[in-house]
Amino acid sequence: MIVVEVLQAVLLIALAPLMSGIVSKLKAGMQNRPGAGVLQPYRDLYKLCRKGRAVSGSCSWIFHAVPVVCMASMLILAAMTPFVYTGVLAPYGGLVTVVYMFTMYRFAMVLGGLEGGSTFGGMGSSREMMMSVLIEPALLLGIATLAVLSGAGTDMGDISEAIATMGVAAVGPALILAACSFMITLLAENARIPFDNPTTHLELTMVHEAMILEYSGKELAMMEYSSMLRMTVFMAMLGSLFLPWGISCTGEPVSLVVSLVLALAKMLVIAFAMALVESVLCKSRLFKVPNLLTVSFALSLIAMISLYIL
Amino acid sequence: MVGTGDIGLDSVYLIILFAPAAIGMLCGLCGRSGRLPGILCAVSCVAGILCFPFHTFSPGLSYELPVGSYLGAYAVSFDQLGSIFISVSSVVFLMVMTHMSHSGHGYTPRYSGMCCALFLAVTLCMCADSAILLLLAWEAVSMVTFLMARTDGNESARWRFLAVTHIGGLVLMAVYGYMWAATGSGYLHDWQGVGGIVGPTASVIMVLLLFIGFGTKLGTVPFHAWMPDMYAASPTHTTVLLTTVCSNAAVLMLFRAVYAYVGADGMTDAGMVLVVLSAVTALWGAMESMIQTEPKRILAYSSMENMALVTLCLSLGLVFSPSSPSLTALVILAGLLHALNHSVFKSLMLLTVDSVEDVTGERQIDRLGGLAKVLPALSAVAFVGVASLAAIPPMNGFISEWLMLQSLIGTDAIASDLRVAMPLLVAMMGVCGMIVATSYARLFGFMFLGRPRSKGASEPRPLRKGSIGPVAVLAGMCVAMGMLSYPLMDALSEGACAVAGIDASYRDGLSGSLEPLTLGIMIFGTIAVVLVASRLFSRGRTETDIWGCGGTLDERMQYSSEGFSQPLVRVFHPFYGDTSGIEGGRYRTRFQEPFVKYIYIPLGSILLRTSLQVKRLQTGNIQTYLGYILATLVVALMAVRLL
Repeated sequence: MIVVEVLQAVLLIALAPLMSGIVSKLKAGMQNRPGAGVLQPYRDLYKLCRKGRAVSGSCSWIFHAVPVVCMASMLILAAMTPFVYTGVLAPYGGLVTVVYMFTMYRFAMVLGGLEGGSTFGGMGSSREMMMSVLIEPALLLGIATLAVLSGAGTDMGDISEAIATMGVAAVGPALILAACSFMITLLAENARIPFDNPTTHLELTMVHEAMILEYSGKELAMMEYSSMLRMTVFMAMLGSLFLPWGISCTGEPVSLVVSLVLALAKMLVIAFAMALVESVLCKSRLFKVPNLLTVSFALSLIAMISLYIL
Repeated sequence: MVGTGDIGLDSVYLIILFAPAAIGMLCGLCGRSGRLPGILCAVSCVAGILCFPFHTFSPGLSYELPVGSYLGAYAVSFDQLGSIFISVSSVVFLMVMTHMSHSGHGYTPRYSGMCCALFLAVTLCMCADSAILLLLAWEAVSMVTFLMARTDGNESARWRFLAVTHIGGLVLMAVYGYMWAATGSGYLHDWQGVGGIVGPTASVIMVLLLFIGFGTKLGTVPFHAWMPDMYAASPTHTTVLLTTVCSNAAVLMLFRAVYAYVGADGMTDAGMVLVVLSAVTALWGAMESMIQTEPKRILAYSSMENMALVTLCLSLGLVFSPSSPSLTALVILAGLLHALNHSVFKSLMLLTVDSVEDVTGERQIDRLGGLAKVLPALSAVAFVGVASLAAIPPMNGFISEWLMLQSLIGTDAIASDLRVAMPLLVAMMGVCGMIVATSYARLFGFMFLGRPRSKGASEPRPLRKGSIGPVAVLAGMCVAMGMLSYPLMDALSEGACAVAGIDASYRDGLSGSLEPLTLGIMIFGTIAVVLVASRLFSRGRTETDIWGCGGTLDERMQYSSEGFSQPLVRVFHPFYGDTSGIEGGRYRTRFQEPFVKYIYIPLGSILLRTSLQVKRLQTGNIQTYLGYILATLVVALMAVRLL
């Protein structure tokens, strides 16, 4: 089974740029543009890796450590997430650890933003922390809801398996509300519209881009890749924890194939939803973002409370 | 019990533990050199570190001084929980002493002597077995820290500290005195089950008073008002000792008093009240730490937040205890472990801040920056410190927060309507965790990253020789206590359950698995692999300046610490009550703590007004005073006659 676990982690890691490309392509289609091919992110990353770096003279070791830590934390998360099979390669701490791994990524990126010493970096870091104060509790509550709902403890694989075997019985207010909250969290965490615009280079609207502004060459490639992987991990978590039906619990070849097809289909649906949101909404004003995040927070809180009172 | 004439191994150990510190105290108070007391204190600290190993080797160590007092004998006894606390606190103490001797503060011999006294007092607090010794030691802790806080110009802060801790001390004395009277024994080991003797109502009142009494030391709202000023104004080493070892002693005494003496039965409602109080304290500490501009004040509020998490766990234990012993064991373990972890990473951070202040001569984070480039080693240990504070895996702060969240998520077992409160607490933990992470990112970022913001920061003096060693040891402990936490958790939980009389394993309360060692190896391994792999793509590297939109950037053209926290201040505006405006040509934001504004200032003015009224009695005329005496006498006699 270890082979399957390794393969699913590798699959997630390899798919990350493709997912990002698919979202962009779908978005371009909705906006009536031809758009770049779905493989464009791979080409971009390859291009960045081949380029030299421009590094400021005032930067210390932290500047170079940040991309490494960011990428490492996301790679570990990819190994912790069930995708086509409920067993995972790194079941070393369950979903609480998952949330703290996201914190680790964010903490490193915020420090990277401050390290640049430019005003943009500080601005991006400051805004990122403002959002994360509201995102993280929603994330924590959302997956805590799953732990209580499934009654299977806090290990990701167990939750996925428990909800999958519960079948339709699992669908209730708690799961639906938590999934909605998680979807908002997904958009906010991955710097998508309406929270942030991943393609912007207008300094007043930047959040995520501002933090990585000083990076170039392979370090920029690592930062970009980590954020693609983060999005893919989120999509995989939404698919395999909140809508886990069809996921392989046994690891038999047939079920794995079915599960793989279903998992990819789920991801495509999520990508379509993301592209749709990005096409019909505009980026919200920075100080309106907390209102939307509070909605996500409230949804997940109600989801968890509903488990106790309903 | 070791007899007086019997020179056993136990007596030798006790002599090594206490005698050097006692001699050091005397030497320091009358001597000229601060070196001797320091060395003697270090000897005692080493003995203190060996306390837990010694306890496992020869458990049940206890001793009673042959000379008693009118109020009872002076007795000590070491249990497993106490010896773990003594060991960890002694490590911290030793590192603080080592750092102090290399810090160049020029502390007086008296200060070193006081450190010895504090070591004695704190250790006795943790191992005292007689009420009189415990109360004396607790009083000594307050007095010694008050004396050690002396610098030029913080008189107001330390007197406030003295006043607040003495209010707390009086409350505690009342509770301990009541328990003493109820059991009729001066020995603490006879106090088990005193809650059953005094009845449920008195027990509830005692538990509330205990939390308030120790809360004055741990910074529970609204008794936290002394903390930031005291922490910022005292010598750093006093602050470190106050916030780490003294807090450890307070947590241990609180735990013993609540769980061993009074007992956790029938405390569900009181527990809930205390949970709310702790949650408010934690949130408030986190929010305040984010807007401070002095590193020590940031860390002061962070201590308040961390200690609130500890009291939160201890009060949650009261809520869980009727329904699930294993969850109680889990939540108690989370609290006690967090106290120990806190003492390690907080001393690490405060000592780092001390070094930074020393080399730059700056005390505002807005005048620091860029130190990671010139002091890479110090920045690395500070990074470990902030990572632990922000609960990043696999550091020790993460382990205790993981346990806390486990106990909150796993509350399926607890009965009744109180379960509904658990999601709120999970949310509180999440918000609190991220606000403090912001605060620590800000602290680290503005101290070590970016470009230097002042001359002191751009040309720092070299780091003092030997001052990096102790902080490096503490950083190592942060990692080790994180990755190798299971043996520590097992021993701690065993000790705590023995004290609290819980017959369950905390592992049954866990609803998920955690393998910190594997996780840690995986994290460090992946980082190493990514690092090596990224080296393979080594292309050219050009040194450039930071892009300044075509101009040159001066040191003020980067984000300020106030600006960094401003978005969150705007989001939480109703709680901060901040006012902004232009003052003297500069835009400023002012914060006034609501607790000070709505509690302390009105209370102060009421007291002042009352005493002005009372002053009218004092006419200075002897006839009037005789009249008062006569009136009092008549009223008293009438009262006696009528009753």
